[in-house]
Amino acid sequence: MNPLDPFAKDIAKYLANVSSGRFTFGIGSSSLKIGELEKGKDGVAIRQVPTVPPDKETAIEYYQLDFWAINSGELLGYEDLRFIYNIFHRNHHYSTNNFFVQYSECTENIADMDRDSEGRKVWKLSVLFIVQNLIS
Amino acid sequence: MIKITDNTIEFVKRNTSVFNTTLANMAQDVLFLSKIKVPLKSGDLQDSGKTEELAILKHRISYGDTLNDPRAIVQERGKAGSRVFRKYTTPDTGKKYLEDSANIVTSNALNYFRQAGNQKKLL
Repeated sequence: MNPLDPFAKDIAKYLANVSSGRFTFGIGSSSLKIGELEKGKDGVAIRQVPTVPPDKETAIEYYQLDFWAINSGELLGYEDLRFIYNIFHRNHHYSTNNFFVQYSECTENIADMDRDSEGRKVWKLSVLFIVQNLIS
Repeated sequence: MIKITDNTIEFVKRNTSVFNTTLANMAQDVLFLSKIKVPLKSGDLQDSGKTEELAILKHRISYGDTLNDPRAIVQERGKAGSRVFRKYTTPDTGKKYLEDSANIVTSNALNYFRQAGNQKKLL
C-alpha cells in the first residue's frame, strides 16, 4: 500500500487481481500501462482525465479513467474493454489498495477510434469512479 | 400570481463551462490518438505534441517546436513541396495523423458533451 500512488495505478492493480490472468500490471511487459503504451506492444493504456474537484464536506472524490485498448487483433481490444466494462459498470462498494469505491459506471459505450500508425485497432472506454481515500 | 425568475445568465455560464470542458477533453483525446498515429516509430515529432487552452472555447493541438515546424507540416500533408511521399518506413502509416484523429474524435462529439454535462451535475 502506497498512499502516494495515483488512482489509476490502484485501479490497474485491482483489474490485474480480478481478471484471473487476463491482464497483468507491473514491471516488464505487462498488458496494462498508465498513461501510454509502449510502441509496438498490444495492451490497454489507462489515462486519468480531469474531472470535478472533491466534495468539500464528504471528501468524496471523482475520477474518470479512459481505457484505450490497442491491439493487432481486430476484436481482441474490444473484448478486453468489454471485460473491463463488465467489471466496473454499475459496480459498487469495493476496495482497491488505497481507495474505497462507492460506485463506478461507464459513461459511454466502447468507442471505435480507428487504427494507430502500425495498423493496430484502437478502442476506448470511459469509466467514472466515485471514491473515498482510505488513507485520509 | 406567477413569479418568473430569469436564469439566462446562469444558464449561459454553465453551458459555456460544459462546452469548454467538452473541448478540453476532445483536445486531449485528439492528442493521444494522433501520438499513436504519427508516422515515426520514435523521435522528436511524437514527443512534441501538445494541447493548449488559448481562451475559453478555444483549444489548440500542435506538433513541432514551433507552429510552422516543417517536420510536422510535411508529415501531416504527406508531401514536401511538389514531392509526394509514397513509401513510409512504417507499414500502414501515412499523412493526416492529426486531421484523421480530429475527425474520429469529433464524430463522437455528442458523447463528450454528455460526459461533460454529467460531470457538471456532480457539482
